[in-house]
Amino acid sequence: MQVNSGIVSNRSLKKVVKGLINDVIFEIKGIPDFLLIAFTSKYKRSDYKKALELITQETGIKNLIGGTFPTIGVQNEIPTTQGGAAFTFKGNEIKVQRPVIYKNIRTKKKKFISEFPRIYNSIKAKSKISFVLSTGPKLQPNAMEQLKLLDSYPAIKYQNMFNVLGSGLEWFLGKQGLGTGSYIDELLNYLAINNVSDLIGGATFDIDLQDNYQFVNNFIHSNSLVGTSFSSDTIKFGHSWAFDKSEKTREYSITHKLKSGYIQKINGERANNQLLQIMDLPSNIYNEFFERFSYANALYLSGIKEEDGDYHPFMTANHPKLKGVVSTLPPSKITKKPIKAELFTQSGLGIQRSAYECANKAVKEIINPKFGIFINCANRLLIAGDKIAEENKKLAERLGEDVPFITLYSGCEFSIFNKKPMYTTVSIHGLVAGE
Amino acid sequence: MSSINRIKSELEDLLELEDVEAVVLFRIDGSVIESSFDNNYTSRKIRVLQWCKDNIPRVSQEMRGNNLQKVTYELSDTCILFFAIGKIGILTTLANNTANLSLLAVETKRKASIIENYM
Amino acid sequence: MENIDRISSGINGIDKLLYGGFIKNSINSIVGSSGTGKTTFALAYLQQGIMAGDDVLYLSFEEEPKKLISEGKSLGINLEEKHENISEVIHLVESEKIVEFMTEILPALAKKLKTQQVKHTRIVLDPLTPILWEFTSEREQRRVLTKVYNYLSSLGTVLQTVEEPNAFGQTDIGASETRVPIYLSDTVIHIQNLGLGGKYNRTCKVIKSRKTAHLEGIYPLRFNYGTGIEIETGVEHETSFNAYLVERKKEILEKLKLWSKSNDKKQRAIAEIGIDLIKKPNRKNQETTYEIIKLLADSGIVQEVKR
Repeated sequence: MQVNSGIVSNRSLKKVVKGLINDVIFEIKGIPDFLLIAFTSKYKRSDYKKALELITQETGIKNLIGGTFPTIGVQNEIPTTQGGAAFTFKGNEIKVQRPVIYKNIRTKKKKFISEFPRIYNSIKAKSKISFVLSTGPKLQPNAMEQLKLLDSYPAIKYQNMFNVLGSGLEWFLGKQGLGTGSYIDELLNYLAINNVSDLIGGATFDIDLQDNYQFVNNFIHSNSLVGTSFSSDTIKFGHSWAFDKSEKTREYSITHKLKSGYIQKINGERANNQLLQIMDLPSNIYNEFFERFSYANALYLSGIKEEDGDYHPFMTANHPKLKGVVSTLPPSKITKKPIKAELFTQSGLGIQRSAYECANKAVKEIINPKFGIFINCANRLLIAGDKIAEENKKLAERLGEDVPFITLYSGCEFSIFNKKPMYTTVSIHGLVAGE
Repeated sequence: MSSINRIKSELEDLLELEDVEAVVLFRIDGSVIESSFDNNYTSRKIRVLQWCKDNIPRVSQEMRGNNLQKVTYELSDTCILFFAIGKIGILTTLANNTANLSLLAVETKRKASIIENYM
Repeated sequence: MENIDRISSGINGIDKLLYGGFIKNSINSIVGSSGTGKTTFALAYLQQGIMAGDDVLYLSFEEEPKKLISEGKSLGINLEEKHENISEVIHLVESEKIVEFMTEILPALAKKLKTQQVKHTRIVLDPLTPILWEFTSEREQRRVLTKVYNYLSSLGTVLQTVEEPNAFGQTDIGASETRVPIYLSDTVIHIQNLGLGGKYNRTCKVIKSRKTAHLEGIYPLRFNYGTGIEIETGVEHETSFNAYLVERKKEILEKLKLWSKSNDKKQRAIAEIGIDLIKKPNRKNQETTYEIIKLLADSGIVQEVKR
């Protein structure tokens, strides 16, 4: 089995593509069976289109999927925030399903829900897993101003009504390709019910919450979901996830919240102030620092304690303009009852440890890893900064120094583990294939 | 392409990143090896660049003395990232104060490691 | 450039940094601390002069001619092979005769040569530092050197080497020992050796260049068998587009503006294209732009186009 991955960074996407074709894709003898292409998210849409056309034309590839991400990493290299990466393989051991695309996925879920499980369930093999990339968070420039409405008295008092209004608004914005990644939670639950037992995926993303794109062969889309499935009788697909839960600090109770994940009150008090207090962060310092940013927020990691004793991570985003807090709580976890949550402190070392833990769990039943695909939260990237390469070193340490892998820094990460859906943020999900 | 032109090209890549206003590769004595600027010359930028040039010998001494790979200065309206390149170079990236320093640091580090091969 | 007479320095990189070499009849200084390669520069300059058919004169204020010849040989600069009477070209001025030499002999010699109308001569003063020591006040240095430079530059192009003070590894180009020659020189090239290894350990920088633009920045320098010294400039053409524009832009624009008012249709068309190219140089097609402007500036070609 031939596997290869690599990064090329340059301000010109044309040069990036030429580099990827020559240095990564052409290293595979013959037409690759699968090609994952990821570009960083600041190039023009027309440039991505040209890039995909060039790749498909030059390589003859039929199974290309990909998307745009703020950063992309591969083994043995410092990730890039300006360029692209390719991950590709060829071999009889793995069968790759023809990639599928579902446009307007935020609002048109039906086709996906009925068709995708059918394709998945028709695959007969000892081991199989789906791999999908879906559109991630994209907000309007004045999104924070609009969210102020959710801090109003009626929004707190009449939550049910606002949930209905909220889902209507979500649908309306979703049609325009706007919204968070929470729609994926619903999709995962449907897939799991319909016997999709294993899946891994991530959300294409722009760090400024602007345009993000998905690719299938030479087509470029926004607001879509693209995916494929891998199956094999000889290769096993192990997958897992982890997050940095090394330092738990304080508990709190989410008392007032909306289905969209907007937290109005914590411990019965306005969420923004309350959370800052829990974090011991003086509000004047916080306001001074974040006021000048339209999007940048104080992003913090929390976890909901689950029945099995494990935590489900989510992220909260304070913004000086809001009294409440935006969160990535999965809609399926939002119940009428108060939600007990705990605050975690992320650290560079904790991020490295959790990356190793993810790889370690994914290779549990694999002796000889062949490749890996990791979906890593862009927030973890921001915390690690220029030490991000260390995280990939941890993955390489567990997989083996010469095992090719790709890391996509995404808007949210998700998996289905033996029919258990897991929609998370601030985490790392990983797929490892091997014998 | 000669290594000088390769260095220039890497600096121009960095300059294309959002919020980056200037990129200068200094030698530790403060000599400019190569530089790249956006087109908007302002007195502020010139002042900051002069400040960088004057302080490079001191910054590089600190970096070498304490084995620092990266030093960040956040002035009132400008962020400056200094990345050590081997024993002899300091890659300096000037960005405005809304720049995402984490992402900028990732790419600057990447470029620093590439440029080291040409020095 | 075409409108200024230049001579090659003998080191390709230097010619590129100066957009074509030293200006004829100018005073050029190589400043650097011990061991940076000043004498090698001087020997390469001498070799180039011999090969170009210039008259050459090497005044050494420190080392024996034999030693200099053998030093050159070790770097592939074989002066004996290139000049039949090389020992007559290189002269040692002993330290006790320096004052007399500078104030009397050299001016007299220069005057004599000038009356004989000798062809362009390359003159090397290596190193100038012992002369400066003899005239301790800056005022005196200035007086003597101005006089000598006047004589010498009327004969040809001068290259002098100047020792840069080096205290505990810290060099100082602004020190009083180097101030006057730098001030009086037309071109000053600073060479450094930081002693840290790597490509940018030994470098070369033009710190002053009268009458002409020059490349900014520091450029890697290395010793090379054959040419003595090699400097990597990153400039692939003899002169870069930018440099060409810096020097010729105004001149070409004026010419083109005249043509734009001409009755000749072809001339007007050329002017339109030329003005557009100069005002909006396309970075991606520098080479083509450069070539087109070069063509536009060439009167012969314009005549041809007109025909």
